[in-house]
Amino acid sequence: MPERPPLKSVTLLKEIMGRYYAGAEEAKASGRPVVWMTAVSPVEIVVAMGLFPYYPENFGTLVASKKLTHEYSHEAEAAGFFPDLCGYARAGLGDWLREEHPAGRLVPPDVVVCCNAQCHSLPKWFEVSARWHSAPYFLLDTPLITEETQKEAVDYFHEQLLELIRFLEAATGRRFSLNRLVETMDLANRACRLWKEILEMAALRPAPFSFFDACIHMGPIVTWRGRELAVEYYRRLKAELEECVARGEYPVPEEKYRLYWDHIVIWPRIRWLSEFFARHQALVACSQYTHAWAREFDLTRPLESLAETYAREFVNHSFERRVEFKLALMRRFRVDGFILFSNRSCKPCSLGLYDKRRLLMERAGIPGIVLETDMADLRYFNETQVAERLEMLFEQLEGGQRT
Amino acid sequence: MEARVILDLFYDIVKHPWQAARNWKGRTGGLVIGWLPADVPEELIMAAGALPVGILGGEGLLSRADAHLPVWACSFARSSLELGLRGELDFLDGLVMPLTCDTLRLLAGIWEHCLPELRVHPYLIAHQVDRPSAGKLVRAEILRLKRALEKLIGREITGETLKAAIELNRSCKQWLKRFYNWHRLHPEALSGEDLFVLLRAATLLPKEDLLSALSALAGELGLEPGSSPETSGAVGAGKHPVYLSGSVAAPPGIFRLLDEAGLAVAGDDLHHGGRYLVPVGEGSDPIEQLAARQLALPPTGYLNSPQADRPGRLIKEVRRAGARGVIFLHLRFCEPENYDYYQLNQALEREGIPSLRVETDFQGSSLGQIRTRLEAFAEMLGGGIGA
Repeated sequence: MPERPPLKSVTLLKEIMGRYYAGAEEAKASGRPVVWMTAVSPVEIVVAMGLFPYYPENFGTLVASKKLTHEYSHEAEAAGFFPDLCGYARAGLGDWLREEHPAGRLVPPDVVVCCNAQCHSLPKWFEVSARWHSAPYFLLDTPLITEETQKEAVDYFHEQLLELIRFLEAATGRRFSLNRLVETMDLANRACRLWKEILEMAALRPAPFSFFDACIHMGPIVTWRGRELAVEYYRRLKAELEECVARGEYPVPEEKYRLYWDHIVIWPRIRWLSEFFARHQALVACSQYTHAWAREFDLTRPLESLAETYAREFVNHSFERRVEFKLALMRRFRVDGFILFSNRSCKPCSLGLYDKRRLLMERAGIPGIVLETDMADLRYFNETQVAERLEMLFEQLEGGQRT
Repeated sequence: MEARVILDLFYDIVKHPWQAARNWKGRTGGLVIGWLPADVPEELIMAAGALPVGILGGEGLLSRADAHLPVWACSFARSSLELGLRGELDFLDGLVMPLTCDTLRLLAGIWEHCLPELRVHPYLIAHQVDRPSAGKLVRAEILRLKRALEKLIGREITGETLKAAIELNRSCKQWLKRFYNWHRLHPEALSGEDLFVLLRAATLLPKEDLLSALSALAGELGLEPGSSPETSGAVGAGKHPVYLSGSVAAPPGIFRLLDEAGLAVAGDDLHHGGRYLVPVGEGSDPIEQLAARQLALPPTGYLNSPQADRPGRLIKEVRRAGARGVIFLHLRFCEPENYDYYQLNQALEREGIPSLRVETDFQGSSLGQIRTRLEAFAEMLGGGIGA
């Protein structure tokens, strides 16, 4: 079976991501309010109001991919922030404090909207930035979802959506329209559906698409969600992947193993990682992280549906539910082993993994490891150690070890 | 009994933190409910006829927690879990864990998984308090905790018992505030370490016992029961008044170092200090009163929107307390404080208020080094800088 050539869609990807960066600068120049948003938050409201949604986390990935997080962090640390904080936050804070901007600039906000469903680092970063730029700040507070708390948490979120709409109207002078919101959510649905279908193609064996591809191609589902461009992009990507299947071209042509990777990728070493796995004929099939945007809104109950969807961000669930989520993905993608990434930058994704590893090995009956490193800051990445850990997993897979 | 003898009893309680609760449980057969700082309405637990016990980490080596939490989780979380894993908390009938930061949000689940018999009740915190939605969440959470406690005791918590609990706890906190002032005025008679031992014991003892022990101590010290618990600007001679800022200060020995360096605690915003002492206000609806307290708590690391203006509030509090400098007692890896330090430090610099950041953990690393830095800071304050 031939190896899949680089996807042609990458050209279009670069173009539309370029349009997003340029769009932020144009919005700034033309007086259209730039609203800082978090990646998993109800951007549909912001889009429906004709505001420009801007994602500082995406800037964090850019800096990390350019292997510059530690450099940006120097300025942040010199000012009084600490190296144990989130790598994205340190990149963003550092960008404001430094003279050089090799990753382009983090566009200053006119309004800051932060949802803490993902973590409580984002609010800290956004609070400081809102103060720096004297931008009105709104926190969408998202308490933990458990069986006992879910009703309260979702009701609370729903009520805050109404507060958010009033806040945005007051801060920007723009009007909110429910019809526009439904149109936006419909577009978001269509892109999310395609995204989900693309991710699910990795369940084919062999698969035309891997987790590493998903990390590279997820930009539009975050930044262009709720607009035609995202739908268009994923339609094209899906068609191209279908062609790959028809031609029998795969990223890992002779798939020997399929793996689950828990959470985010190690941005500065994404190529190294993907080559490492390819050398071992292992396809990393899925991750909860990329599935975070594989969602579906109920257009008949727009605000309720936004509340239910975003308050239930996968990170924001109880220990046991999160184990079940991982297990469900492992089963659906029929993986042979798993890697749990204990990410220095991200407590919500990392604390509890030692116990979860044991549980998952028991329940799935497959081997798995915990990898201790960082998603962005290479000071925490020890290549020899990471390679050793991964080799250990492959040894267990070779031995057909079933726990 | 002399004051020092009574104080020694308090020290003893803090040294063997769970003994009082074990004794009480043996004597009364009642339920003991643990809670982690901060913001948990103790009064609900009291009204259930149960004993609230503050869990504030522990000293000593971590042998078991390492298997469950990475080294870069803060030592408050790690050492609290260690206590549970070691079986030291086996007398608890439940544990209320406020989900203040990411670490506690995750710790609750790890705790449930490792120690299911300890029955964790995750207590949701509103991370914004300036919009109507926050009030609703806080009230709903208080009621959910009330229901959980009622289920545990098999009867209803009445408004009357809750009112009585609020009154009792208010008296305790008023006394503690008077002692706080006493320390400010007479640091030689009641040291900073003494003060924080009282504050710690306050969350370990049954409140009735606490109240009588505090009145006895007041009698010996010559402290008037009628004296105002409100802070005054005056500070005793011979010591440099400082303001402490952070979440949870550890290890307890840190307060002795402050005393030895010639520093008096004029005020603080610690979760087991000044923040704990915020009383429940007056009112006719006790649930409403508990909610109002929670919404009125001062900003802290996990509650610091630009609207809350934590830096501005810190400056105001430092001035009000008559402190000449600020000492940040930060737990290593405490994320909220590590984000806020920059802004707080900038604000203090603008105002010309000297500050020192001390990073510690429950395992008490490098206290010798901290001692030297505190002494140098005291010397600098003595030079009249920033006075």
